[in-house]
Formats: sequence, structure tokens, C-alpha cells
Amino acid sequence: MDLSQFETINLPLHTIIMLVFYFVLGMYAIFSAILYYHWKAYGNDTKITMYTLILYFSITIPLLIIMAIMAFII
Amino acid sequence: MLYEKIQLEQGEAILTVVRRHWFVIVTELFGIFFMLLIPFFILFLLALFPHRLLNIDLSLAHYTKLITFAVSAWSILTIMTAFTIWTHYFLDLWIVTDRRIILVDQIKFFNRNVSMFRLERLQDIEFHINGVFPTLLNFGTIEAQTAGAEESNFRSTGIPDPRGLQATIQKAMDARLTTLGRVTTMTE
Repeated sequence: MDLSQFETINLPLHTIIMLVFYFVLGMYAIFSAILYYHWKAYGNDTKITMYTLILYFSITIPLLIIMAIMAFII
Repeated sequence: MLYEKIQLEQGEAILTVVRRHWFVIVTELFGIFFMLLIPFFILFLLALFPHRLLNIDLSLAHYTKLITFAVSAWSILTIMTAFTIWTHYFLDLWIVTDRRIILVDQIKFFNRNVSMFRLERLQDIEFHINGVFPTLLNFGTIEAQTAGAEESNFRSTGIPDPRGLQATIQKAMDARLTTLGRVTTMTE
């Protein structure tokens, strides 16, 4: 097999970082919507539902902000 | 909320609500905690032996932003996994009422089984406690056979105090059969 037929893809680091960032952001948005729906629809304890969602968003949103800042300044 | 959706019958009372044992979730979350530490462990090794692990002159200080980005991404994905485990743990439950057993099994996010078994149809209920931790912490598997198709039998693992649950169900079943027997006699 002649491997030279495949061109080497030279993506700049910033582009790769941005692609990873958008991929994680997309996954996060979809997952958060699913998680929120499940707890709101099937949770049987309002307090636990509230604490779970507050804990989830209070941990992940700062991480996402850090990721976004790093992605834009790299 | 769930209880409104299940719609208990008129006069039906919830006797107990059971979730899997805390040891089950702690074990699963422990694994996730280790996953969360993996990048820090790698960074520690790289900082400790930079030339031995990779034959290049790698100075971590030059890649602070990239490392922060990667660690944040990894942490978000790991935390998402942890919350998936927690959701499946918390939304899985057994509701024993004085008339039925309601089994809510959250297998995956889009795979949820809700089964109901009437106590008068229950034929046999047994439990197994197998292993060191289950014996010490008193949790195990509970199995029940109902009259009818084999598919209507049910089995749950990691149930706390299975002996107590078996006794509760047995007691509720006896009470139910007595009540039904009385109703039948009265109608005759």
C-alpha cells in the first residue's frame, strides 16, 4: 500500500484546540439537556434534584469558562 | 415528579422505597475519581522525569495554557460520566406499596423500565448475599417469581438489607392476600 497517496493534514494548533473546544461544548450542551430532563421528569425528591443540578452546573460551568478562555488565548 | 406519574391507586400506601446500597455508588465513583486524577499523575511523572520518559527537552512551563485546556476538557468529560452514574443510581428504585411492587430501572439515559407486580401474584421471593463486602455491609441480590410468564420474574442486585426487604414484602403479601380473601368471602 502506497502511503504517500495520503496527504499529511497540517492543521495549526489553534484550529485543533478550537475544534476540540466546540466538540466538548456540543457534547456538554446535549448531555446537560438530557441530564436536566431526566432529573426533572423522573426525580422523586425535589431537594436532591435541585442539589444535583446546582452541583453539576457549578462544577462544569467554571471548567467550561476556563476551557473557553484557554482556547481563545492559545 | 415520579410519584405523580406512577399514580398510586386510591388508598394505596407506600411501605418502603429502596435504592441500591451506597457501597455500589461509592465503588463506581471511586473509579471516576481516579480517572479525574490521571492527567495530574501524568503531569507529575513528566515533571519528575522529563528526559527519561520522553527523549525530548520538554518544559511544562511552556505549555501551561495547553495543559490547562486539556485538563479542563478531561475534567468536564469525567464529571459528566460521574453524573451519569449518580443519575442511574438515584433514579433506579424499588417502591413497595401495600398492593404492588414498582420497579424503576434506569438502564441508560434513554432506556428506562418501569415494571409493576401485584403482591397477590407473587409466588416466591428470595435473596442472596454473596461475597465479603456484601456480607459485611449487608447488601445483596433479591429475586422474585410471579405467577405467569417467566419474563415477569424480576431480579435486582446491590439491594441494601435484602432480608428486611424480603420480610416487608412477605408481610405485605400476606396482608394483601388476607384482605382479598375477606373481600371474596364477603361477595360470596
